[in-house]
Amino acid sequence: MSEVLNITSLSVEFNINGEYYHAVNDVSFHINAGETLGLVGESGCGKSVTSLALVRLLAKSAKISGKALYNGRNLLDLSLEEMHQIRGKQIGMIFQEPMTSLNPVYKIGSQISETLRLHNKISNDEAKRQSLEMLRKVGIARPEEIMEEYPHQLSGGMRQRVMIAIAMINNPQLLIADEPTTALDVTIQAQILDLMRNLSRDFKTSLLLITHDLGVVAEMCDRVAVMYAGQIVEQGLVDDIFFNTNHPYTQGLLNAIPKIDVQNKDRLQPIVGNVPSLTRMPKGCRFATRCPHAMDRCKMESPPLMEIRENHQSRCWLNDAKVV
Amino acid sequence: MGELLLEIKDLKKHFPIHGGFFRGVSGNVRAVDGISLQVYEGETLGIVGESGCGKSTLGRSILRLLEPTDGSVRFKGQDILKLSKSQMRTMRKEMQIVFQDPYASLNPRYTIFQTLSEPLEVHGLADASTRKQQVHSILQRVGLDPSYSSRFPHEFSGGQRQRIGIARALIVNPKLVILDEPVAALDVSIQSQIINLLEDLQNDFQLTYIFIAHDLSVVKHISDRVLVMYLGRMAELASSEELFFNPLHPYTQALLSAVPIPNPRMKRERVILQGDLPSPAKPPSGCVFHTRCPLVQDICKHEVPVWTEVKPEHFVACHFSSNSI
Amino acid sequence: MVSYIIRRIFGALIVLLGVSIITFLLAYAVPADPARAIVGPHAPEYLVLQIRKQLGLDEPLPIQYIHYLGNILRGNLGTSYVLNQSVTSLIGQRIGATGLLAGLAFVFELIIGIPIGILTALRDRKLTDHVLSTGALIGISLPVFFVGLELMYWVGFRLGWLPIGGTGGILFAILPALTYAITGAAYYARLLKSSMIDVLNQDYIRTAKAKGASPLRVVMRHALRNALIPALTYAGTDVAALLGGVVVIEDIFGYSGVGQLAFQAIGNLDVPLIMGTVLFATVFVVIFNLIVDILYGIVDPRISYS
Repeated sequence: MSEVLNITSLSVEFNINGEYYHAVNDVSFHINAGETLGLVGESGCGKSVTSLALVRLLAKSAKISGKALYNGRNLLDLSLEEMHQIRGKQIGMIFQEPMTSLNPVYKIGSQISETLRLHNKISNDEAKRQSLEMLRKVGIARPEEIMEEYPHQLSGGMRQRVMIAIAMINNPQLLIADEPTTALDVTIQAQILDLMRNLSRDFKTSLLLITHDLGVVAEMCDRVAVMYAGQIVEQGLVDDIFFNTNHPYTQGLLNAIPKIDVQNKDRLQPIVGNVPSLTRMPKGCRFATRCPHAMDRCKMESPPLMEIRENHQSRCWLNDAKVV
Repeated sequence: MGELLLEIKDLKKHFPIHGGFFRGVSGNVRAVDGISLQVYEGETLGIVGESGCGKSTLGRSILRLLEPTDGSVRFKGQDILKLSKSQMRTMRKEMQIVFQDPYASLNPRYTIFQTLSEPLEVHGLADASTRKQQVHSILQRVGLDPSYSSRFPHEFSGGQRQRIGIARALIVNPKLVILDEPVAALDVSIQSQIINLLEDLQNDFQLTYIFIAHDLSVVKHISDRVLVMYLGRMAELASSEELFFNPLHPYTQALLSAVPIPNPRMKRERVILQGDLPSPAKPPSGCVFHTRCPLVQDICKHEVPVWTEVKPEHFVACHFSSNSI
Repeated sequence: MVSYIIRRIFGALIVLLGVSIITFLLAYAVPADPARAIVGPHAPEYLVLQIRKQLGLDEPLPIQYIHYLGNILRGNLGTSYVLNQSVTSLIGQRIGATGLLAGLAFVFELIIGIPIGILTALRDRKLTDHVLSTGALIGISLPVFFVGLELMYWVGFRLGWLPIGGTGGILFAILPALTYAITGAAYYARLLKSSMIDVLNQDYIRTAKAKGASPLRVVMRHALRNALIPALTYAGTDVAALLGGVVVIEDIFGYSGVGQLAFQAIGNLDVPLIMGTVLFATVFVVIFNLIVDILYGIVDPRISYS
């Protein structure tokens, strides 16, 4: 299978009061053609920063290093002009807040056709025709009328459909969706997830799905990368992540969520403590302060991402101990 | 079940829509439109529904933080909608609320000690000498170090702020606590800490909870009974187990099937509701759910379904609920 | 949109009616008897009474107001006591000159203020920002007469590019308009800078970048229109200040416009002329605000559709 995206040792540093701190630290992953990769973690773990870094949408003050190969070209080395041609054409993006992601002063139709006209030499009429067609594909009823409406006249679910239309209209190879359903109600979330699944299948688009919701991951993803405090702590096939869970943080997340499909009412098992702050990262394993299995070694040495079975890696010293 | 603590009858909260200077009131948003409920001592009643269903307005109307348009709210047999303002202030000691965003509800210029001792002062519950001790003990009880009491809200994380919000509600020793999306803004790992804390506190202080949330898994976990609301009305009410494993209202069924389950091996038939929520200013005729209901029949468009106890302690408002038992 | 405009026009008419009442009452607040002013301080009392009757000043106040309103609607603003000409024609002769000056001043304000606002926002806390922001601060701080005199000296006298004073055509209006714009543009620059910085942090700007729009396009097409909304609101209130400024500036430049006329009228306690110019000024402000409101509805669809 061909790789659409290959990220190697991506690091992002932010300047906080004159010093640089790692928000993303040595992150590597790849996405195959037509595949959906879930990037999972809690707020502040660096999952959104990772996605914005690879399309170069972070503020200029952020220091980015590593490689982000898109079809073999390093996105981090491209000129700004080349980057504009890739964004919106080859890589589409959807964000968390449908309410604020559309420009309030332009009609829906012009916002969709803009993406077309930025990348293709086509007439106004043709752009309009294709936009209308795309609105139909994202399941908007009465698309002719919606073309002439403004964002504030649409519900959150409809606005997210419009965002998907904008992101998908140039038939990109990669779609980055950053918490696309977090702001939506559960019945609308089901509609949008369904739509994204169908569109990425029909368009053969690879999907980088960033979310905190393990339910969404289980439903949408082929493979999963779990992030904690700027690092990938576990990566593997969705089945392995849920059923052969290796990293104590992943296990902690799974134990902490209440389950809707089981009958017991056992106490939840929370992860104790809080996420360490960017400016005060522990020296060893970043999860050691909250880990129920932490050993002396964990507090001293930072574990590398270790291959524990085919296509399954985990950043935990427990795996090393097993080998020894 | 414990004794009847709170009884709500046909509660309504309508917000007038102002059509402009010359046109006056042009309609009403029926945020809460005829809710009747009993809440028993020591239980947790969950209220779920999507945004715009009126669940938060209901919570605020019960406490008269929003003045209800119609109906009655009896707390220990007393109709609190008839109380004067000063009587209501005294009553608030018994009924507290915790909000979703504790940061917005904490005064940024007050230290935690000031925030927590204020309700004691207002209700004359402690003199200056014992106040400090009470603040420290409640902080400890919600899992915060008493030495934090001299800090300001911005020095705390989201989870810690929610602990402060809970401490502020509990320091006056209330009977009933309305929890309005108390964990919605928190990360998964912190969310479970707060849920466990709420359960412990309920046991220790014999609290009664009304737990309002949009997250069905959380509501199922914490509640004894659950009410499902749609567009300001009651759709279904049953014990938590019954509601989640034997839902009778088509809306409840769709809602449950829409929740993504963290199990990649589970493949389910999903009921995907079409369309968006209608505007509560112009609720549909008949059954308010008929515009999105997959089982809609002619009768649903004309007749409002009656709230019926189809099984013991299982209430549904649907013309066809008895068919699906 | 149409119903929005109709609503705005209706609102403007009500304001104008209110203004006519206020100017009418103003005439009574002025401590001068118009009849006495006409006949002179030494004329006999019966003559004053006669004039008073002739002018309808002996009738009850509401009746007088209705006469007054009727006259305004017929375009009759009375006769200046001092210049002995109809107020309508006095203002009419100068309305073009003043309109030109005010319009030009407003355009200059925007031409200077908006680009500075955009530039300082894009170069926030960099050298360009510091230089331009300091310049803007100086612009705000300078008194109008000082700027006017400097411009007259340098541009008018030393360089000889433009006439130093007087009236007649657009060339004569440029220096006075620039004088006002230099002191006024700084507000637009500051306002636009802060709204631009705010807008550039909005989610829809990120969406525009994600579409592959170039930085120039992001700023000019996606950000500017949104950032102009607060500036437009300010323009509505600014026009009142503009008219106040015009009175002073016309005087400095010896520019014969309505402002100068008002200046003289106040000095002479020429009540009909004062009323006339005040009415003119308020009508101007109301019409300008009406235009701003309509523009507002065009720029921000959320306004006209609600």
